[in-house]
Amino acid sequence: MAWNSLFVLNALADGPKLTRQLATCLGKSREATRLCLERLQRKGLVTSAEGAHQITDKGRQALARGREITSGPGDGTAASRRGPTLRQRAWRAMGMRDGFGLDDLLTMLCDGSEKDAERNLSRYLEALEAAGYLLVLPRRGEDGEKRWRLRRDRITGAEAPAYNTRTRRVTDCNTGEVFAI
Amino acid sequence: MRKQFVKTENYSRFTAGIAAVEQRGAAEAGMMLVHGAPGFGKSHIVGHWAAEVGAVFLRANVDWTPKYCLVELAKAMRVDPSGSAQQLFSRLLERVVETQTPIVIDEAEFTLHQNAAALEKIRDLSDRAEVTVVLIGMERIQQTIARHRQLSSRIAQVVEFVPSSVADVAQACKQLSDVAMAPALVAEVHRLSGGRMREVLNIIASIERLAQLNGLGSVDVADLEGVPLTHDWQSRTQKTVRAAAGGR
Repeated sequence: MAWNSLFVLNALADGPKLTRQLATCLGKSREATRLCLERLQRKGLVTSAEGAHQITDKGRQALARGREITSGPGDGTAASRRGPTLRQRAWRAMGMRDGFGLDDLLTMLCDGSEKDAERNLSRYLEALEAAGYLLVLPRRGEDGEKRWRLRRDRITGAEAPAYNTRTRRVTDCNTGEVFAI
Repeated sequence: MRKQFVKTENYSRFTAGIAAVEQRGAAEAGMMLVHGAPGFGKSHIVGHWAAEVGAVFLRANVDWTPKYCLVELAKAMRVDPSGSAQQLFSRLLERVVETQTPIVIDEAEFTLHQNAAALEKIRDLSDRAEVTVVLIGMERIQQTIARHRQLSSRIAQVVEFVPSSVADVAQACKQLSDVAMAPALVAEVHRLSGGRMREVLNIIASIERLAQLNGLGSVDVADLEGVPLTHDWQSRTQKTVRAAAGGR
């Protein structure tokens, strides 16, 4: 994949091209070229309009640095989906309970081996609330802690929505919907 | 106080039971019954396991009918809940066979109305899809299920949740408390809580508050003698720390 990406960027460096022109240039099928272009578009390295593809400034910078373009986490711009993460387990636990607070989830899910679990889940819950997944309950917990309910109409699937703290975006991995927080 | 899950003896017995059910042969019974008095952590421990493995967790309602039960399960498994009970069952069966998702039914007493019709549906699903079903109920559920031979023969494991032991309470105090507690005080926490983990957590929080107020880094029975740490709702009296249980 990395070689394809660099070759595509190189091929676009001297001007916009159509998919078929790029495919001929690279000696690859149109389908393989299209998939590679999609990945580059998602990373903001290529823009496409009416079948023609053009390298972006970011793409030129990547090319100038000559580094490998991988399918990895995109320099902090992608949401992690490795499971079963604490957030994945929390998503499942939220669906089981009628109402819950941060402490309920920590007590139910964490055994002390998780790194900074309280901060991690606290951020996640706030993000899910902002994205409209969680309803804030009027009654607070014993220590005055905030409590939520997972809106049943927002349980879109088994995959937990991913929250990227850096870009402040929640991505629903079941529907592909993205929410800017 | 640290907010963490404590692996108690009930947890160990539950996970051993689950392992036994999951290692069964295809033709063998796939249901497990978890029962015990309130406050012994049944839903909490089974919920922890369900979140780990991605099991479907349903809470039965007092008015559950077979169709109502199937609709709830369909919603939880994101299966179209429309159509007749027969159509719904077929769709659910396909999904359960495909995903092999374990199913947990809390408050399982409510599946036993109308000659256990709702539980029979779950049993049928478990038999045909060969998935693990965990039923959670109160103390007397085992005797009630025993009246239905078809159902009781499918229960491969029964785990009774019992009061937490002194070792469990000691583990909770060590794992959760920010102040060190002497063994005698741990024994008092066990006595005052009656082995109910929910109560243990409340008492630990109270001890921490008192230790903080008095600037204590470690606490023993002598520091809290006569202090009420919990309340007996039946006798309407406060339960206080007794020096007779130990001390410095």
